[in-house]
Amino acid sequence: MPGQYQLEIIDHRQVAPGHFELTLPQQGELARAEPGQFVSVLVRAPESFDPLLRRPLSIYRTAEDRFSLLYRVVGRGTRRLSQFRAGEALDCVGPLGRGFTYRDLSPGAKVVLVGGGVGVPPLVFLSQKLLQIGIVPEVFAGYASSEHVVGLGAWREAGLEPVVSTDDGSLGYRGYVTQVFAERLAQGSVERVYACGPRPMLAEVAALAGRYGVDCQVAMEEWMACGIGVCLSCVTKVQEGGANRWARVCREGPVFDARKVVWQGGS
Amino acid sequence: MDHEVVDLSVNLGGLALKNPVMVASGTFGYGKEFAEFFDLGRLGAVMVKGVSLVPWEGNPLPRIVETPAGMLNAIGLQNAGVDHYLKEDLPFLRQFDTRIIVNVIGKTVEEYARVVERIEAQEGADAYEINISCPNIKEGGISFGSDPALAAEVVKAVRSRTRRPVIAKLSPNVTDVTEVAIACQLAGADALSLVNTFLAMAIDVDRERPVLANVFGGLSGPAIRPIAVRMVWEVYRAVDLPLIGMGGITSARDALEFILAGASAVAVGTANFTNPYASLEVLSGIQEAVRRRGPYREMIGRAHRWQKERSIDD
Repeated sequence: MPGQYQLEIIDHRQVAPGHFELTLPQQGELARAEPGQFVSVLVRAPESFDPLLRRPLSIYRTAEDRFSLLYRVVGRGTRRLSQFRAGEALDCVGPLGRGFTYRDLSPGAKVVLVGGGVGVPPLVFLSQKLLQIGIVPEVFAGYASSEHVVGLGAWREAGLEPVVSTDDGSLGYRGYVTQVFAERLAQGSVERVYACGPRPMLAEVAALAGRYGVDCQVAMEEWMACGIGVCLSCVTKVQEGGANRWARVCREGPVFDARKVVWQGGS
Repeated sequence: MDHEVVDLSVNLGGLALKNPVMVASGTFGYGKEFAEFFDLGRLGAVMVKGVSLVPWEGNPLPRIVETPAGMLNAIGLQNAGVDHYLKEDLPFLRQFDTRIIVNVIGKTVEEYARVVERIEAQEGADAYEINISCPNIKEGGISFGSDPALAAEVVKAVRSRTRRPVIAKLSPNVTDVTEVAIACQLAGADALSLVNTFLAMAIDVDRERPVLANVFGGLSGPAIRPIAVRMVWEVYRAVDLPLIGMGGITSARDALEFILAGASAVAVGTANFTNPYASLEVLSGIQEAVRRRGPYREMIGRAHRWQKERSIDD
């Protein structure tokens, strides 16, 4: 069940050019959030109506008494959010959406994570949870360039060594993350893939996983107004029982079974 | 502390409400999601998302865009149809001690009438809100609500199918909103909702094209409130029907503007998206106002007295 919370910002810092990590205290239902779920944050000043809508941000990592959100400044809302300082209160609604399914996996399961750019944060949180149940995931992370790298430090602290690729070759492999991921899949023995990133990347990951018959869950993103499932702004086409229908990314997602998503013309 | 129970009950053309705070159609789904935040029984009524005869697919994406103190939407009235409403949504809503106002949509006069027939057969509504902003496919897609004669035709068709209160939801996209209001009154409407969203658009300057896939969308949110208040003021003077005021209400003070302008009840819309408790905050603020200013029903339209008083002074 989601709730509305006024949270006092513990820490707010730039972690890469244009990327910020926002640390907030755990409260109420938020402490039960699962990887892939998100929090929607009111970024406007009190008594102001601009920017009007909340911004949905996925949970990046958690600790006993705190959790953090990682976001990139892309427009007015996130620019305004980046100006909040430690000690200020932030109006948050969450946890929202359906997160990744992973509790069905056995310890030692062969799991691969594929993250693209600002799609990395929920996969860092997922890694935390997987490690807790005895699963050491293999991580593939792709970025536009070395400047845009986020989450690598958190993964390394957790003892993981992500395979990195950048579009311009400034760090790790040169090219898309899907290329190195494809090579890994070809080697076999992958039980499940979790992916988050831009839609074209997810479509490619889904196609590859499908080709090798590997279970795949994708966390998707669409423009949202309400974030709780009533406005029908953030829908995406899914296939169910031979028919296509709109599913709400904010409520039935953001995590979907990759086989159900209609990738061509589905948005 | 004053614990005296404040009487906020109001009768909207035969629809008795325990309080005048509702939630606007399309901003509250069919209640399920908001029931995770509060007891829907605290609301005077829930105006459910538009229900059509058969499922409507809605528009392609993007369907929304944020604008200054507002947003545009072009959802396209996506909904699962009347049979789904009756089977899946109505039983859930009936658990709560609130009134259910079904927003009815259609592409022909006949479709509106048949939705109401289906719902009547299962007593699936306490009142109907007729969304006359839908495109009329027989008239080349122009909205029923932009023509007084077409609006009246829809209201008449629904009127003949039910004895329950019929509320016409007016479109603001007309030169003179009182013309359609009068036509709806003559056609047998029991109350009027005003206003629906304002036709608008946004252009992506970088990509040099419209933002919304549908090109046009409906503007809602605080940005439209002053225009909506003006329309309630005008219609209050032109017709003799209870009005439900809506358009950018985020607080009790916003709601009081509509009430003082002549609305007997109010609906919270876009604010539901940004504050799940907005409707309850409006309700408690109105209760507070009644404690300080006296009976609710006497507040309705009271701002119009100012003009009378001024003319006496003159």
